[in-house]
Amino acid sequence: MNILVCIKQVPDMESRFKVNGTGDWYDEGDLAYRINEYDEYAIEQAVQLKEQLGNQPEITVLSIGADRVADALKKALAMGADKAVHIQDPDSCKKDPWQIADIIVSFARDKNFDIIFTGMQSQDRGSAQVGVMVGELLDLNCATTLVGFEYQDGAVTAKRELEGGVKSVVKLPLPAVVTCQLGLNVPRYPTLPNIMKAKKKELLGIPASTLLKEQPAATTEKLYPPVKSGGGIVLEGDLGEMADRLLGILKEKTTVMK
Amino acid sequence: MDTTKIKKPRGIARLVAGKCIACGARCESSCPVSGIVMSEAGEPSIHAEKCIGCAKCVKVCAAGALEMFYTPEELELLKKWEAQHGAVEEELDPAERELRAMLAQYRGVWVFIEQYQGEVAKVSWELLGAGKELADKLKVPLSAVIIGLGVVQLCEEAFSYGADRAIVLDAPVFEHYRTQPFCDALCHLIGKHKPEVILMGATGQGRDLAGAVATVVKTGLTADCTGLGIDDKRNLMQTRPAFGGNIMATIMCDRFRPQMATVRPHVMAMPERLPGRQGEIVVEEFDLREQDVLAKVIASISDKDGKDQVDIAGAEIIVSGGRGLMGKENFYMLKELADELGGVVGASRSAVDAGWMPHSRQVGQTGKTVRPKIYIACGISGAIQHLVGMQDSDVVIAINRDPEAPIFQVATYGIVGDVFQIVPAMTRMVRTLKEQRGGVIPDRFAV
Amino acid sequence: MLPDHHYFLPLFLLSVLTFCYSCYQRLQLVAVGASEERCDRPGERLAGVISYAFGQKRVLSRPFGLNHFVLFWAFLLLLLANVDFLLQGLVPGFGLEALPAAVVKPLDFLFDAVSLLALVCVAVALVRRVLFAPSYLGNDYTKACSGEALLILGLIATLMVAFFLMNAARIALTGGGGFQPVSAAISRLLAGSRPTALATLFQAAWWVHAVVLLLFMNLLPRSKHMHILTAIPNCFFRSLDRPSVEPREVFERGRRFGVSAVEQFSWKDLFDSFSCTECGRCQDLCPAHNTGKPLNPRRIIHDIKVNLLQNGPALKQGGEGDLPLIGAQGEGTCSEEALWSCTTCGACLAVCPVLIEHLPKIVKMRRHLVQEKGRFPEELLNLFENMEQRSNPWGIAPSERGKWASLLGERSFKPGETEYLFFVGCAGSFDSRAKQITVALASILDAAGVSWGILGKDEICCGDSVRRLGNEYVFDKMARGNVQLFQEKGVKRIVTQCPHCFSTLKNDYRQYGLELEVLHHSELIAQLVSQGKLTVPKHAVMGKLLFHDSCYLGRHNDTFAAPRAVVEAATGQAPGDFERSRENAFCCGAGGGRMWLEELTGSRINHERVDEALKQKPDTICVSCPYCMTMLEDGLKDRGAEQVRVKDIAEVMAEALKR
Repeated sequence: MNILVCIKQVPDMESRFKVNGTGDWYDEGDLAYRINEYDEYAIEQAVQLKEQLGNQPEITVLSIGADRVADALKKALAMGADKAVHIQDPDSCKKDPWQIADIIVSFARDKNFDIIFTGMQSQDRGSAQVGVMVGELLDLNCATTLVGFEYQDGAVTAKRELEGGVKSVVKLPLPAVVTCQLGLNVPRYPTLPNIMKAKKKELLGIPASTLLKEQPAATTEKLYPPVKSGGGIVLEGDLGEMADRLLGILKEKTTVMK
Repeated sequence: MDTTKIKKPRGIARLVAGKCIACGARCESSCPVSGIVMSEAGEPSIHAEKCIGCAKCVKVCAAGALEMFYTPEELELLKKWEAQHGAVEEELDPAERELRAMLAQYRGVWVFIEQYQGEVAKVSWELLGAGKELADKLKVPLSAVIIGLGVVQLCEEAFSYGADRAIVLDAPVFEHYRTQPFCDALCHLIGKHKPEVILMGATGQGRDLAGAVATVVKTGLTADCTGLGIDDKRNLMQTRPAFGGNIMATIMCDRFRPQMATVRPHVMAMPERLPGRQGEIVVEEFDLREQDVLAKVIASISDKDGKDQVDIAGAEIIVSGGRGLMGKENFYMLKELADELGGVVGASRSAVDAGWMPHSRQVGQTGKTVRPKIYIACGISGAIQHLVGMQDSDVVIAINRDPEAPIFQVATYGIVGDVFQIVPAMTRMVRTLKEQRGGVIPDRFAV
Repeated sequence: MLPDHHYFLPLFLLSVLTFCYSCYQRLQLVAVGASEERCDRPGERLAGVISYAFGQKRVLSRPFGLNHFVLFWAFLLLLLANVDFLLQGLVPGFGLEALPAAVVKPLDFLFDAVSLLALVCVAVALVRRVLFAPSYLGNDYTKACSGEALLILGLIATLMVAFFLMNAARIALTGGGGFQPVSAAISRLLAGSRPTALATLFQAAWWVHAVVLLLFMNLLPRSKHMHILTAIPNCFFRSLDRPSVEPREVFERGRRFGVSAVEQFSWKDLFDSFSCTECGRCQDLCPAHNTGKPLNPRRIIHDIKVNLLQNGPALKQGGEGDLPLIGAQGEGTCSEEALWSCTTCGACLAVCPVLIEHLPKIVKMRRHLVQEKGRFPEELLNLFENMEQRSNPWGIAPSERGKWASLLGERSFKPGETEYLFFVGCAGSFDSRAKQITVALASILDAAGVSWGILGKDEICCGDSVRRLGNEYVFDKMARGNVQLFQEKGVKRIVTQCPHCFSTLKNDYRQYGLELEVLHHSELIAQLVSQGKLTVPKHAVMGKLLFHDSCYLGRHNDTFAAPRAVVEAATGQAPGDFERSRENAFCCGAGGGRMWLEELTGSRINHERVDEALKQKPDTICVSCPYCMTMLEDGLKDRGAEQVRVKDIAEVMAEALKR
């Protein structure tokens, strides 16, 4: 079995984001990076599948981005992937999901992957599209937002999260693409021997320009900081008044009361 | 017409008083001649003598706090220049003309109605409200697209929430949602009717379907929008948060149609329901046999009733209690409020330690990290172990007797007072309000 | 009159042979362990042997230790008597007898008197074990009145009795005994017996003494009394640095990380296991054991020994043992929960009379679980990721670190200008309660005119929790980062407000070549007071105040006086002590990374500590550590005693400095 895991390196969401000078992305200086958490579930699920099948499958982990992406790939290797593909693109942040999917598909098209795992969405852009697009472009079965995964006899039984606590169980014959949601598994903490081994595993670099053929479908016009929510207001007054004010806040901030 | 060549006056950038949001000196870094210096307060001051009128700073400013200033003479010149060049601008190259012709073929706003066995997700009605505004601006009809089995009766409901037309595909193969048949069907409808805007709920189903459809029809898709608007060229302006809400982005899809967007539940307001409102029903057919569909839905599971499997991590409203609640029995009071608001009950570590709530409800360092829209902290002092689990909530309402409690440092709204009086009072008021409004909206699919 | 040495010689040779063989076998097992340097600084080591072994320093720290002290010295003196006895048995007439009377007579007296003392001590010990046994003598694998304990006491008593009978019979037969009052007194009871009967009695007593002596010798290496042989060398091989500082690891491919099997311990770890006297003092003080957790430090040492003995034969062949070291708890196997229960408070280290190092063994096994298995309580996943990603336990943005100081103006550490680096630590930077301590300390330093500065967002966590939790790889990265930062900035002196930062920077970072003056704020404030740089205008009113010793300040760094001096200077009164204080202080429950773990088994450590305080009805509990602050405040709230305030020493001093 041939497994592909597509991961993204994202800035730590605790960072203080500032929009860059050109207003189309954030200032990358002084940021710490990590693997997109949803992609960690994807790696973990791929490794669990590999273990289930007696370590026979080969896991390729792929990421698109600048040089720093190699750190994310190394962590994936330490978690149990067998080899890594770094699609080098210092400007990957400027690509829209359509182009990212195109790059992945160009790489994966002739590789006969049986199953492709990826995160439900990225923590930074959060468009939740790349997985579905890859599935559609490669004409594979696809299930998104997985909170449960089982594999048996060439088919995946996936538990998908729909909305409001409703889930559906879907059976997908391979080849297939699945995107992973919080709650699917607990990503393992890479062990030290595996971190050491990961340093010796294959890490192939491919320039993105050799794979990308598409123009963006959607363009980011501008980025700007959100309006600061008015904070730190202490309400005073008698009971009825305070409850009344609270209700007003609830009405204003949500649609529950509308 | 005056034919002498006029040089376009460029003007000088200046600050519009009171609009700067001190975003972090983007104007300063955009200026090619270093003509902008930031003040202590983070506001720009523009060196008029350096300004070359490139207007880069004006474009980059998110708050619209910079404008180009023209002298009356320049304004006069500008008018003349525009008169001269107006016609020229309309001269298009063939590719651009082709694009415009293609774009013009697409008309109408669609809302995809997400339903589970005939029960519609509330977000779809919310989107009809948002779609109506777009349709009105574009002066086109608003259509509800309903795909499923035995769903024709949903049309009237859609009309009552503002749809002018309902496009219906009703067949056994659509009984359960699966990506492939729904995608194929929707792409077929798009090809036939050519809408310019399609809105879907950013739910598990909506995200899945929107992504697949956008890929097949090859168009742009913007997920999780929080704002939708129309610009002067009939393009959809889609605003969405990125980086965990740290940055807002405006996204356009001006070269492809339809323009697709998904919106999270509770973002758009519920439109007013007008029972008896009429519309046109278009019943469509699409030839797809069950045996051609590879993926099989084995079961649909609802966790709604399994109360102890409540997932606080994904909840949008959390009413949380701490040591200040004094006892297990008092959590019932929080549950009442949470139920009225459609939320769930969480707890601090000390409440869980005391055995008042199960560990699955614990918010904080050794419990769950939550990011609800509203977090109501009742009788929680706010030790750092708790704060790290909930401080990214959109709105934090803290109720505590102790005005020094650290929870007030992260609270959007703080109430220094007695939990045992305030919470029941709120519950009563929410209840009264709902009763007054009447016709309780089915809440089943709203978390 | 002496027994026929033709019978004795083979018996003796056989016993010596089996004894040597047993000892050799045990030493061979110890040699299975990894190498570790424990012979450096011999002078210091010998001094330790004199005070800990011969002076019985730790033994005497508890009242009943006196009994052992007497027995120990009796044993040493009687060793000479027994050598004499054996020599005479082998070569008649060859022994102390041959020496001049001026030497022999006092020795006779000494042996006689000491034997009586020993007999009394044995009787006392027996009565204690049978009638007044303290609970800590027994546990789940042994009892105070275990067969082994009774057998050994019985054997010693038999030796003494046989010694007296032998001497008494001889005196009755041949006279003398002027210098052997006890034996002489017994001989008077024998007066009138027939000489043949006396000779038979002598012969019998002699043989009983001889056989029991040889039996006892052969029992030693096979029982807890192995410590008679190993305790003295164990004191010699003790850790000269802080035993709480775990050794560094080398991160190379192909190495093992931590300890998963007994042979991966160092030889000294294995030697420790043969030195345990089963006195139970560690068990008595262990906060985990006292609150119903599965950890018992004594049991850890015992399990290592059992494991080593059982797996020994295979290990000596270079193979692997069958009995797992870590797994489902059973004799010879430590449970994971036991390992995670340790707060690394160091009470076991401080109390062990033979200087066994329990704590590093637990950490070594944790290292294996974390680094090789990735297996740990799930709450720690969050902690480890936060530490790696954002270098603080809560995962708060590093840019927030220096925020507390924003109201104080520019407070960055300036190389070459600032004297003290104020290493604020994670709690002091992020936790709103601990931030009050930080601000209090800043105001004290300002009041004393101390030049200080902070690193702000460049400061990273000291790594204490990750190191104690066994995540040495992450600790290593953090330590190297901090050390490099200190060196780049030319830091010479550091003050911390957290004993964990303090101990880590001061002791652990030494392994990374960092030798700076690191002071805990209690030490610096005490210095400022004694130098007259801080004068208290009006004493702070704190009511009845108890001082709680932080493990990492007190036990791990012997700093007991400084915080008390600060409290005394600030309030005008010496603080009260808990029932268990200073070296014997009871942990708050947060050390060793336990701060970040749920406490699900047994009762709460912080509740036990708070209950101990509440017995004295204090108004204020004074602490010197932000973890203790959290744990005690939580404990007081749980006990409904919110009227009792918890204050850091810096807050008490800052209060006193307020005008």
